[in-house]
Amino acid sequence: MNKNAVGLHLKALAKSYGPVEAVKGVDLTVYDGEFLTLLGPSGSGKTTILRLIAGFTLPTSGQILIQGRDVSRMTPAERGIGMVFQHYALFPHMTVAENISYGLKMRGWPAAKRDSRVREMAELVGLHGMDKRLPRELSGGQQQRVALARALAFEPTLLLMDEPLGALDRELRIRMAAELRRIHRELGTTVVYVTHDREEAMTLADRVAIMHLGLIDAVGTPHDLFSVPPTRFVASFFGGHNLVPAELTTQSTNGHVRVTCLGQDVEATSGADLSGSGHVWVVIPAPAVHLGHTASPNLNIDATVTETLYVGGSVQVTCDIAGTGKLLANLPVEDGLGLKVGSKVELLVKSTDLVAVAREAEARSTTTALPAPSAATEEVDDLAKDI
Amino acid sequence: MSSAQIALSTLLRWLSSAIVVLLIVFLFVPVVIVVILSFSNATVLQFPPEQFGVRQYVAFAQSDYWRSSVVKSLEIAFPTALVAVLVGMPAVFAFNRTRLPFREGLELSGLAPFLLPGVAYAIALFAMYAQFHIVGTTVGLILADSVIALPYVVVIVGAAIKRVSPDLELVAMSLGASRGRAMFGITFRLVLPAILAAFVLAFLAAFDEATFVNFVGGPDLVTLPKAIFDSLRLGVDPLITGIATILMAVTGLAMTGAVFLRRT
Repeated sequence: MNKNAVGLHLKALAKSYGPVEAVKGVDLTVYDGEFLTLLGPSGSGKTTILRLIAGFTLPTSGQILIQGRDVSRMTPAERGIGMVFQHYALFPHMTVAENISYGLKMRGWPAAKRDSRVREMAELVGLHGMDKRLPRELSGGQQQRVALARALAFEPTLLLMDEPLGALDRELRIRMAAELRRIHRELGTTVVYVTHDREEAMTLADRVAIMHLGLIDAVGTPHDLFSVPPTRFVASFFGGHNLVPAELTTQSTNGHVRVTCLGQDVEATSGADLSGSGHVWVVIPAPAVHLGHTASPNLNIDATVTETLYVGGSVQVTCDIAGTGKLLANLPVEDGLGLKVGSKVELLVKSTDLVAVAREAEARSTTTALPAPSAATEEVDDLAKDI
Repeated sequence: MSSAQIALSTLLRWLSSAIVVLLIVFLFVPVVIVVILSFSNATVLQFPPEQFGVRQYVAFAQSDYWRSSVVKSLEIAFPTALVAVLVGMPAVFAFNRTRLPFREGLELSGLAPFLLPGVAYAIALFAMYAQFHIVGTTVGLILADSVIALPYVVVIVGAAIKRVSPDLELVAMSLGASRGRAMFGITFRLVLPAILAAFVLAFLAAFDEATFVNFVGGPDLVTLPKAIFDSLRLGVDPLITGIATILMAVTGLAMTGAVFLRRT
């Protein structure tokens, strides 16, 4: 496995369904052996991209390269990609063993080699001794293991997963996610994993590509995207952070800017080039909010408590900043439990915890200081029924 | 709840049970009587029979008239079921697996023969067949019967294919199957029991068909239902009870088979 070799390359990939542009020219590089998560709200185009890579639908324009080979116009069979669906899509009339060996049979493996490979895969996914069972005799988690074994059996260069844990309950989801990490470590297959669950993306992926309205908003490691979000959408959708409007005053070169926020002049980190944008958002992570009041360089906030929620280990406090909007704070239990709804509270955020992002996406979201939930865009992915 | 209310609801429960029992009795008594009558050795219908035996069945087996009518019915019913399946299958795939325009309307039109008044349709068919000089031909009757057999395929196979996720074919293709192989090896294979069940029901519908044959069958095309009608005109031959019993037994078995097929 060569960490610098490119496993999958999307070049200006676009797909329209009539007048609806589901994917609007996406560029993406996934390295060999990498686990990349495509994260986005429903309708963001992530499932369409997956179907384009798999070959279930053809791009309107652009290219798909797998290990340098242009597969844009090939049939799904020719691409040699393993695929795992949310609802498992096991062949109900075939046993576990028959399901796993289906791809091997289609690819002309001799029977003896098929059998030993099936045993090997069943062992890998922890389904030893179940090869004679039918899918309907298995639990949801077991079925997803079969689907995974089936997709990996023929040693694909690329594994695509479409919300594979979405149909499982929470506890099983966490266990299966750990299993996925282990199997990925053992096999080193390049994985593109689609989900709308940011926790899943955060825990599973080497890198996350965040999709928004048919485009990739940002790509980076979960930690980078969380701690220094480059865009407003990444800050709210991936980080779940607070956004407070501010004005850019000084653009400095070392990745720091000065902004006027809530009438104070503070320094903030900037994840992307902000030149030319006077209006910005200041991103405030809920855990970075503390009780107290000190002079600059910190940002001081006067707010009114509107709700407190004990979540075990910390208290989630919703406040109202006069004239600005809501602010979510995660306070330590000893600070948060004493707060009364309706009481005034003095909060502060260290300037090292502040990030400034551009405010250009105004047109498609309402101006609010709250992290805007995913825009209720049309579910265009469902239109991908043209295969 | 007061005791009066409890008494009332108990009464209603008893009443509804009684109605159900009465309905079942009403439905099954004629069946039972026909079966008993068929094992009578009398030459006229009389209940209860004085002497039991298999005279009706022997007479049926020995009569050229009845045997040839059964053969004719089979000659009609088999091709009819085949035509219904061959026409219905691609239609069902098109309704469920393509983005065919107006597909809801077309699917509904596939069910229309269930709702059409049979006699009115038969009169129209007769007028048309007369123009084409195909009144009294086997092919003409097969085509007419295919119309009433088609909805069985549309309903039964349509319901089955709706339970097969389109993802299965996609997964098969990603595993290396061609599109045709994915469709036949997976989707077609999974709806095959439903196709066989639909075939059986279409066959029974055609075998049992008594309206169209009277209009477009002409005087010479005598299927079993037609033969029964004709024989009634000459008075009631107790042999009919034997035929009725055989028909019910065969139909019952075929329906059981069809239900079993749909479950697999």
